[in-house]
Amino acid sequence: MGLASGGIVSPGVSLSVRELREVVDLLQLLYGVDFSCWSSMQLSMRLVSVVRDFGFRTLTELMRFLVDNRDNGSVYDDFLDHLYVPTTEMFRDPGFWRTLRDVLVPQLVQDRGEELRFCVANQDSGEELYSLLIVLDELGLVHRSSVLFLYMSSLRGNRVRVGLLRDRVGDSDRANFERYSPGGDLDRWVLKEGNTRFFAPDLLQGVDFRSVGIDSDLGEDLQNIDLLLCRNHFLYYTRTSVEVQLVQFLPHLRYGGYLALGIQEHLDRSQREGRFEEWDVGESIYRKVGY
Amino acid sequence: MVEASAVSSTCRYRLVVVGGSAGSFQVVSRLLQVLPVGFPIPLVLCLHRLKHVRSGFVEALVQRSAIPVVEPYDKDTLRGGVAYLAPANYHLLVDGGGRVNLSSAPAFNHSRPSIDYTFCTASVAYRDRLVGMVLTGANNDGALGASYIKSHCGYVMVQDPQDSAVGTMPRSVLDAVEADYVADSSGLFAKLMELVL
Repeated sequence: MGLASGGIVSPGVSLSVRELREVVDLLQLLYGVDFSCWSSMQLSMRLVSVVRDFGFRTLTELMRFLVDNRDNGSVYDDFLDHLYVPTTEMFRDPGFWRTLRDVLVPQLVQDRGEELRFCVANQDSGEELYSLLIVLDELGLVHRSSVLFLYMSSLRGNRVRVGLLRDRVGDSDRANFERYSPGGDLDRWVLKEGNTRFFAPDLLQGVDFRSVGIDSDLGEDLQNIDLLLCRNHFLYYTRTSVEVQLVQFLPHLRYGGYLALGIQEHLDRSQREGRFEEWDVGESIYRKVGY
Repeated sequence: MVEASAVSSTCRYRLVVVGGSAGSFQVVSRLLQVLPVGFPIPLVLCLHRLKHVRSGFVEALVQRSAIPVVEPYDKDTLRGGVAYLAPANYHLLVDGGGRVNLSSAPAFNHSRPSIDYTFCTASVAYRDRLVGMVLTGANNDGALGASYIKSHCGYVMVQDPQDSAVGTMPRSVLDAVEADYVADSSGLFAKLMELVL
């Protein structure tokens, strides 16, 4: 199975080292982007998913399609949109969002006032951003705060920018929201136009949407972030790449600012040393204490 | 408690992966009770579970277990004599370096964690050094994964559907592959000891 044999892809099939190298080299050649920062296992799994999403049977077919359309930016954009894992549900890990609403953000307000800066940096498909905006809206902060949303795929960024929701606000979203805010109504923030649903446009209009490269470089002008949401992002990268991204993120975080990871991600001692302290181990929230 | 005083360091198998759904908690609890201290290889447990229950599940398993039971963090290394429970709402993948890779990718076959994902990735990484065990459950998650284990020359054992709280999962595996061993839960445990110790 692979580029040479053109074998059928199935879930869980890992590409060989040679096959994966071929794909990574080809993507570098076509788009100038180095995907060797991704975990081999995760890149394999995601490529298999992209093959299925694009309606192909083999990885070779996908690669040939990308080669044939290498001058068509929208094809690459679509590829990226499918490669990066969607967040899949709003208020994923309701306990995390309660901690944000009840403890972390009030603490930030106490320390810094109400003009806070937030950044969603995990190639989110919108659900993390919408959840954050709801929390800030409930706290009366959404129009006082700066919220930055980073994306690689313009398709994804534009979809989130207009607040396009999946066909319906799903059962998972509602169940999560109920756990986050018992008796609350998630539909308060959903606008329906015909058969299409949108997230509250008034909350989105103040969000700064920025395109970034694979290295998540935030750019020199972005400083003093109070909370960097990076949940379930490092799952897909090598440990070395995680270290690179941590080094890149660190200067953009205010001293005393917070980094939020997925609840099953953690920074070990060597990754924390001189940079972060564990602020909430259960919710994987870290506080910057170094430079 | 059985002491693994005669643990063989030349055991062929290097990893056990267990998949289960409805009714499997009780079976896994009993399994963990009989595994000896010093069980030589890691055990990965992919059990369908309520995604919002973040505490209690592993604690309940630990109470009855002679070996440590943990919910791994991403990129944790699998160690012998430890049982790794796939965390709620994540897929647990196994890579060739014996590490856990967690994924928040969408549910596969309506399941997250997906038994198929665990079994498939483990089969590629461990090949003929892998034992897969499929327990009671109400859907066909694991059938594809079991076929991968077999195609990579691993060993597949299945709980007898007659012995299962819900026979759908074991039956779907038996329909998909020629299992190496089919037995009630006690028989599975004994066979596992025979293979590994």
